[in-house]
Amino acid sequence: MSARRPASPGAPEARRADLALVVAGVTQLTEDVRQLTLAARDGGPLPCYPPGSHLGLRWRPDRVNSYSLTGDGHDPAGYTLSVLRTRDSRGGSAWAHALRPGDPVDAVAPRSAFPVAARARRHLLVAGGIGITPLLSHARWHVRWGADFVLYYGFQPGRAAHLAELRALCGGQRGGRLRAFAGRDALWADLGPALARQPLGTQLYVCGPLPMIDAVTAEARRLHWAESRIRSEAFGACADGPRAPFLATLATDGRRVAVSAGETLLEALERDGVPVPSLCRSGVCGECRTPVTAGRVDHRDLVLSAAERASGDWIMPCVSRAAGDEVELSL
Amino acid sequence: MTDAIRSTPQGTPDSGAWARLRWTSVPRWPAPALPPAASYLACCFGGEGERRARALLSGAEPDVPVRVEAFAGRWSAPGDPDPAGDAQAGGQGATDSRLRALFDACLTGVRVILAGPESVVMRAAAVAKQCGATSEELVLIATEAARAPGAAEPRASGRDGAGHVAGRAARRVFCAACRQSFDTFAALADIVTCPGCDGRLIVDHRFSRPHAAYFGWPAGPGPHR
Repeated sequence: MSARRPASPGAPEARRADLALVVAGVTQLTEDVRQLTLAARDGGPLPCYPPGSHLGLRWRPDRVNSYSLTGDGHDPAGYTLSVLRTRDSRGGSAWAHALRPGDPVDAVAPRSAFPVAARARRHLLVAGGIGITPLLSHARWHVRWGADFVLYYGFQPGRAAHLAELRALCGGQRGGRLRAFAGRDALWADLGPALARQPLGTQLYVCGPLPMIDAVTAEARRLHWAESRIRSEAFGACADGPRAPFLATLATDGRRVAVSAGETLLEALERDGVPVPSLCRSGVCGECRTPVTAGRVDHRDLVLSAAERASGDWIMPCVSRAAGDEVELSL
Repeated sequence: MTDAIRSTPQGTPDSGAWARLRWTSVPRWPAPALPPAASYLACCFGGEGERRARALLSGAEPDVPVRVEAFAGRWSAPGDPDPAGDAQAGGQGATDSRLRALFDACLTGVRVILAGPESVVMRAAAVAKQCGATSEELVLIATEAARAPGAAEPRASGRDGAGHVAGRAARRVFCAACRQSFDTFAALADIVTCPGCDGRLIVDHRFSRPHAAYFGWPAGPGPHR
């Protein structure tokens, strides 16, 4: 018999209040991409944010979808974000596309998971499709502060959100800081050689579809870029895999939580009343990072670095599972 | 801790109490390994530094470009009265500006080898980082540390066997009183005099990588201001 465990800082009871926002404007940028502008419901100021931050929109009481903020974050009058309409099974993007000016929106305050590298001397931004959104934020920041950067933007013909805006921001196509290409092959023809001739101190940032991130970062590694100079942000859920049942033991009191094949470790913990902070519930935000004290982990997230995975010290319970029959968590 | 340091006689090997600390910022020097790279740049301070750098580079893949730059064995500033040293190192003038020109010409994928006395190598590493290099892109070799196998008097010590430069050696010290750094020849826990303010300083086991200097804090009654 144990006393009720106090809620961890990110648990629902202890969470800071959401931002009370209202839809101030809606613009259809392309057939699939809609831009939302959100303002404070009480007309007050909004928190600043580092470039590359994302805003979590609470589209159901227990569901938050995060979207990159496209502004530079400096004293924002409103939050702008661009939502791609996808056929995702949970309906968050459909909800976002149905919003109208005047609709109230509750949001989790901006969180920075894809920041500018403070000590880089040059910034090489590579965006694919809707992955342009956080890098538009970065580009605005670099223009504001006069930093050295170049932005590669690959898109499907007719689906280039923010292209005109970027051309104006980056000073034109030729000789400017924007290299925009319709189609992957055209992008690679220019980006491939460019990766091999960047000056020491250049930071690489990649955002877009997972295969694109994998291809660009793999090429950078092949060219011996330092690991810490490669940064990426993945949108959406990571690929799932086969699920086997396993046992999770809580190190603090020895309680055992059975995780069945039909649920994630996070869902099992919540079902048993163990509070674990979570946000995206799809392995991309890092909110549910939990220390592991024993057992091997089958990592399925997109947050942990190779070194962190190899250490076996962490798990993202929203997607990852035990590699064997059992795992012990520091909860 | 303070009393333990003050009671250490000058000139003897470090008391070692700090060497048992789990965390310390004193530079340690495990045997260097050559990482794979798109190109190599070796900046060698003194003959021994060049010998050690070239030995490491002998393991490079044959098609990877290698550039070796020889410098004098000590840091030289503009106007330094060391024309012989400068001439030996190619007569290029101040170490700082020459290093910056080299680093500014590097591309990503380079691995920079810095070999020479610890105090000089750490200063060069600080310049490299200002030019955008990360720790991962630097290979540092201190010629005072970890002699070749079979050499007399190994200087390695410390918990993990990756030696630090023990005993009296050329060290750069940051004066906590007047905030200038200066070069001296001392062991850790020795008392030295700051040429900027005449203060008596204890050479501490805390090493700042941006300053590339050991922390020197006032040793007690003395003429420092």
